[in-house]
Amino acid sequence: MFFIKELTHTILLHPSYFGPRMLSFLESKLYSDVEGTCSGQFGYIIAVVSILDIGKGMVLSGSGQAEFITRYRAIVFKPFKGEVVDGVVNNVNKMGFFADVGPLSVFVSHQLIHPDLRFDSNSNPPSFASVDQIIEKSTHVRLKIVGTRVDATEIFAIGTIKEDHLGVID
Amino acid sequence: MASSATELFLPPSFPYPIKVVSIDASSSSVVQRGTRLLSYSFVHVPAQPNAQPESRFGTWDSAIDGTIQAWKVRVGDVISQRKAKERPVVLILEECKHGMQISGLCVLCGKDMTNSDYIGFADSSRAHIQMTHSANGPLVSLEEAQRLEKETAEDLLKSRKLSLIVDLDQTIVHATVDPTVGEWRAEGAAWKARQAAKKNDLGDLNNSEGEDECNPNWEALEDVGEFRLGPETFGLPSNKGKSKMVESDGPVYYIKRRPGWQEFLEDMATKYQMHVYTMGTRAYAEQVCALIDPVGKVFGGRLLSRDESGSLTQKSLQRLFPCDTSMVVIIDDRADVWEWSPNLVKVVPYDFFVGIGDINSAFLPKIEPLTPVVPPAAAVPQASPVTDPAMDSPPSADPAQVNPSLPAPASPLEAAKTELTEKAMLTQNTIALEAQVEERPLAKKQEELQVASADPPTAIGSQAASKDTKIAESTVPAPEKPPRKAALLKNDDHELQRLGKILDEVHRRFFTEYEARRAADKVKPSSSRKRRDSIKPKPAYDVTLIIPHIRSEVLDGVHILFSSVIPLDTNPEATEIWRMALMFGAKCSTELTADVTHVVAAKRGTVKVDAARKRGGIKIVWVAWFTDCIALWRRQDETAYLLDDAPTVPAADPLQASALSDEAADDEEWDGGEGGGNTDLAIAAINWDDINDEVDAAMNESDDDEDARSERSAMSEDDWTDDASSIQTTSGPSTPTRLKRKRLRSVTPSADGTLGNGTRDVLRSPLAKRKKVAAERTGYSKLKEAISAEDVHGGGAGAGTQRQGSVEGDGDGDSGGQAQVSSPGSRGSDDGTQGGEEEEDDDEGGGDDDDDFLARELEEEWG
Repeated sequence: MFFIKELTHTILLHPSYFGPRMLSFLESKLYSDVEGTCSGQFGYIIAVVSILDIGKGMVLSGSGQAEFITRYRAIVFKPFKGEVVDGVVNNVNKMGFFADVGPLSVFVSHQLIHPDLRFDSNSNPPSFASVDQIIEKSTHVRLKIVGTRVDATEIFAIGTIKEDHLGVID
Repeated sequence: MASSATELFLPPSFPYPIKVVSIDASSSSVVQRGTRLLSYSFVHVPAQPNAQPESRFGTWDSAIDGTIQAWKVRVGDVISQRKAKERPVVLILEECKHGMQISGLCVLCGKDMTNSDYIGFADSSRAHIQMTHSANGPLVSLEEAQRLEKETAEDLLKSRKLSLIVDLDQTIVHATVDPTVGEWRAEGAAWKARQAAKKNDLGDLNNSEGEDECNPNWEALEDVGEFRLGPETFGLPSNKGKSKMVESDGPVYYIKRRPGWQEFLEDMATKYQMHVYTMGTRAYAEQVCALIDPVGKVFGGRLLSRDESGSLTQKSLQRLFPCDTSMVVIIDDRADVWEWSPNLVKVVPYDFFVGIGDINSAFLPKIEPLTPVVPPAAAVPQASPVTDPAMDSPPSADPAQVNPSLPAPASPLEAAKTELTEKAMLTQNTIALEAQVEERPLAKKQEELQVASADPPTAIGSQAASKDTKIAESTVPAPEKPPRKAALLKNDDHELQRLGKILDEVHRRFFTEYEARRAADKVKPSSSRKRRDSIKPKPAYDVTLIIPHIRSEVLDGVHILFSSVIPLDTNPEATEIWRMALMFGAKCSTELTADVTHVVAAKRGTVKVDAARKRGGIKIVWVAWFTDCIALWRRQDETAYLLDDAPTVPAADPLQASALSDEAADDEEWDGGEGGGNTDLAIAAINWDDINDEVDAAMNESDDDEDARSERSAMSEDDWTDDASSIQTTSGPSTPTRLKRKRLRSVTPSADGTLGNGTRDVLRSPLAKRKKVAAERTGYSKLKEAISAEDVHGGGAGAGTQRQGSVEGDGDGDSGGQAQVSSPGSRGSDDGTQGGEEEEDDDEGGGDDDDDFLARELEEEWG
């Protein structure tokens, strides 16, 4: 699920950057630092929407670097158990397939795929196929997340397509 | 997903024996992780001295969620450690067995498996088998693995396929990072462009025809694929390959695909489901696969590299097929990494870039050739080409051979365990690669080859001219040199065709048996698929049976006696070669028994060889015959490998004098004898043809150590008593024989060592013919005659002559000191000669010879 969330980020700035273009540098530094990262607590930070407060630079004694505690608003993506998401199949093997849901990779095991869809090892690329449907690399699927595990910097998720209205979407 | 109840065992950490005090969760009650299942009591003896044993209590909590199905213990039961291990205590029906997990999640119920608490049982340990090719694929439990494998097997059976695991390096391709290849290819490409340009403007054809010559290796190199790994730069790839840019990019890999790879892969893909299992890195494997399987329809992403393998020194079939390996065939050039798996069809390593070896397994223990001679060189022992002593020398002579200082062989398994050593190995591999880039072994080889191939003209033509060409070659690859340069790299490999046949055969046999079994099953009215599956213990169709069976047909009915192949101080049954022989269906023995059919010898003139020769009907062959048989999985025609007994090359080749150290030492002695003016004169006076005939006859009859020894003694005597021997030479009919043999012998040591020259090959056939004729004419009788003549003369040695006929005759009685040391095996024939002529100078020759002989005997047995 997507959220707009206010977050903070601490930037340490080297004295050589102190100068007229410092603010733009801080902004670009913020973007490059946080966008695309994942924290277990908030999920994936998709994009920074706006910078609320760039912060007052505090020069640290000893190093001479300035510390900016920046507050910004960002779109974050955090998967939840039971959530239905759309994804693109990335890799198929005999035990199931991996689907990319944005930055998140979800594994759908073959037990959670409808039994009509059977793994076809002879096909190229490998696929799960039934008479009228095929799941192979770059197929679009709708799946439901059945479980997530959150690390400090990573999120793992398991999905299912063995329910109504789930599976291949055109 | 609850197919069957989970059996719970008591943890081994309990202070057994324990007594069940109470059962706290009744049958058919729902338990969760942490619910108390039972309480127990145990006897505890405190650590203090004189303490009384006391009763203590403990509890056991459930580690899983589910419904209790049944208890297997009752209150009051005493459980010992052994019992706890063998018998489950309680059966719990689970909702999800978490049989397949991925990155700490159960893929079925989505539960987090990385819970670690006081119970000490993490659910993540329930699925630990990695079955997929990718490193981060799901892990499965044994139960799940079996189920999956059964599914796969059924699919394969339906499509009439087996699984084939293919190694890349030296099996399907040969890779190198030697930049020389790049340069040669650039040369070749430039040449091709010139040719094309020439064709375009026809007028120019005449003027430059003679001068423009292409790199000799271009033909073989034309289809070599190349790619670069490592940090990718999007800049221009500099063609010259010399600039600094290239160095930082990491080396270019040159991949030579084995001739016939396309047909092989396509053909096999119809009969096998193909997997790649390589010791290379993932990136490397993917690049190579892109070269050999551009569309991806052969391997279809079934690719396992060392990044996923989990071991740097071993390949494991269980990694991909954890339970059932009855439908898997492996092709690899190394059997040791597979621990001689019965599924393995060993391939003759593809060595296209001569001397490079396997660039991806420098950290593996170096493979020991079965014999001191490398197979390619030894393959045709009598007919190896004149050109290349450098090429024939075993790879260890090559400076760039990748792992000169590897200590690993002693403990490869232990080493693999520590990450540190793994790192060291990898660095070593990198170092080896760098060395290859810098040292350019190929360029060196080519140079050597040029020099070597320039040698024959040296012999024929004028010395100076050939020297000129030599210099020209070694400095610049001169395009104006008239004869076409010899190619170092050749397209002469037919291994894949042979391999294809074997794999076809395996496939055919498997499915014939499968069909037969299925037909038999169908006959039974009530039989069903399930039933066939359930009957596990008689798998008639099983690759692990078929492959050894095919293998054992290769040398079926052959009974081998090894001679000077197995070192004396080792247990013959434990040696590699012995095991190989058994594997290929041969029988082996250590003694010459009645049913021995082949003697496999590493050198001439051993006791066993001589004994076998006397016996007759036994094929005496070089070790190369054996190695070729097992390498090619076909019994080779022995005639090409026969250990011919009469080495009759007229002049000793100085190149080969170093064959064996002891013999080299002997050489001097011989030369001394030969150089003696008298002897030479005497020889010159003799009719050569007659002598040759007689010699051949004599050699045919008994070419053995003792013979040699007797001659040697005579030889050394010659140094002392030149007069005596020369007188004899002119007198009796026997002595010319002896003398000639003596001369021959002086050649022998070098001739049977490394055998590398064509002169010998040329000479062989007429000589052999003559030998045959001689044998027929003389009927092996000349010697006997001679001896009897001497016998009359010498009187006292009469006993020796009589014994001569019997193979097992022991000649200890007659000929002085030397006879006491010799083995009784094959003394018969020389006793006579010895005895006869020893009359005069026994006192000198005896002692002298004795030492020499002892040394020889020893060295023969050790070496």
